[in-house]
Amino acid sequence: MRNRFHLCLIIITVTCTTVLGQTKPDDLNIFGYFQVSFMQFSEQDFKTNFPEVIESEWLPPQNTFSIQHLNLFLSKNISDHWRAFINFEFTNSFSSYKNWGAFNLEEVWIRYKPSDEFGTQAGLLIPTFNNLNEIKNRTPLLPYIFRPFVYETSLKDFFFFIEDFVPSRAWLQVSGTFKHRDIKFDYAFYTGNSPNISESGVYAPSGYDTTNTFLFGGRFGLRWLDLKAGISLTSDKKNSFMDYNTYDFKFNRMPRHRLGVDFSLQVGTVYIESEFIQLMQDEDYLTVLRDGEPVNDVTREFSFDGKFYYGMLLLNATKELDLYISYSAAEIYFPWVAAVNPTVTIYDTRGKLSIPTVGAAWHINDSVILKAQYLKMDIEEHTRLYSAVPVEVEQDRSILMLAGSVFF
Amino acid sequence: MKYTIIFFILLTALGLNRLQAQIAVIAHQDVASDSITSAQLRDIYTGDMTFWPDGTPIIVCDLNDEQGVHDKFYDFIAVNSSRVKSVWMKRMLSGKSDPPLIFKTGDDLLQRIAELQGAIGFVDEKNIAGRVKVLMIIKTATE
Repeated sequence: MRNRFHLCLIIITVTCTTVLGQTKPDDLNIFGYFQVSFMQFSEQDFKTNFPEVIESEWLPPQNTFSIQHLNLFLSKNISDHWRAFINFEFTNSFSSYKNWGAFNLEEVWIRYKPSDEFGTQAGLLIPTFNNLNEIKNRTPLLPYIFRPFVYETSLKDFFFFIEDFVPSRAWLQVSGTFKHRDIKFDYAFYTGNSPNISESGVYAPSGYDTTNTFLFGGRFGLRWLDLKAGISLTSDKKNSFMDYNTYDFKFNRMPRHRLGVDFSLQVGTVYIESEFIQLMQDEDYLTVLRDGEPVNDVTREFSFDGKFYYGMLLLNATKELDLYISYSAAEIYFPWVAAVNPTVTIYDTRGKLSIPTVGAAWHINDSVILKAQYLKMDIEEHTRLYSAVPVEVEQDRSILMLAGSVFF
Repeated sequence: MKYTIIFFILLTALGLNRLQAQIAVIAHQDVASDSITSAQLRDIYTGDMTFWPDGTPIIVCDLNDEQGVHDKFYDFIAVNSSRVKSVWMKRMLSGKSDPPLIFKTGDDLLQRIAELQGAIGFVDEKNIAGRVKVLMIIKTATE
């Protein structure tokens, strides 16, 4: 009787024993994170040298709470070399009922990786570009509440050119790492749709590429101890339409190239990170339309390029507390009708956005981070009226932010 | 006199034993390596080496104990354990790999490594039983 009892006890123990903190490798993993934030905006100052022509864009102070990000992930190792991954993203307190924020299918891909030197992903994926592109929305990994400008996806409603600087999606990527002693060489090549995606569903189903062109891109990187550096390139062709009332600007399959450079280094408790992106768009592909008809007599003296750079200096003040200062800036040129007699003259409008910021991130535990950040956003625009009259606009606004990032 | 000498020898041996603890890096019996370098260990525990030479995926096991074995191991491979957490979180959130399996005790880690093909971990050498392959012995000084 006693032996049977002991035997039952052993069987029950063996059956029910689990080890802390683990799942079997082939289980479906569900995990995610969210970031809840509070932002206090100062009033927006507005200055121009032509107040009789340029309407003021002064804004009063405002504040808001929001769920900046909620991301849910599903991942599963299908077999030793196959892995599936899905990423759902909700932004800005998403509500379909109230038309707030957005819900995105951010990633859906399958990966075959037989070795560290080679792997391939197919499906909707975030391409490798510079240092931050793949992790720009991963709030537990970043000390920022407001990210370096071109990675701050919440701004794309206000600054249409944000998505010109970094590739947001690709569909097929091969990547891997080669090692030589202590040095690791990373590579990634990818392709995907052009940026000309149907939104209306009128001429093509929404979400479909409306052209027969592709995005091509890649990154070569090097890692040695705590140093990481890389160079990234992309190329695609963009259709664009700008409505300037009487005149419209149409760019048909305009070649668009991006060159990115990234660098990061950890030295003791100090971490340095920086990136540069040069955007090149071929303005020769512009057609000027008046009342829908092409205008032949056009003088072009404009660029359609842009550049972005940012740098951050972060101090691991304690095991839990990080302090940082950061500066990001972007310059973008876009065409503007400066005069119409005797010819239609197109000049630049040059826009510059600069954002110095300071902040802190306190890691309460492995899952919860409290963040604080203060930034000042300065916007300058320079253009010309009637070919000769310079017009300048300056706007600035500061933002104080507090946030909590939770990983689960 | 003889007993005094024996007494002092034993005392010295005990003292030396306390000065040197040993960590065993262990793996599943079928792993296609019989030894490992510190550079490889560093790559494994930072996610840069994810396959054994025969193509079997590496399953990384971490010991989060209170006896200090965890800290001594990460000192040996010269990686800050906070940074390692950040590295694995990045890999997990970008879909590249699962994070290490974490165990509170050496016995639990040992049992799991004996069961999981491709698994690697580390324990106090005193805990080793014969069910796993020892790839390296790390000698560390105790305080």
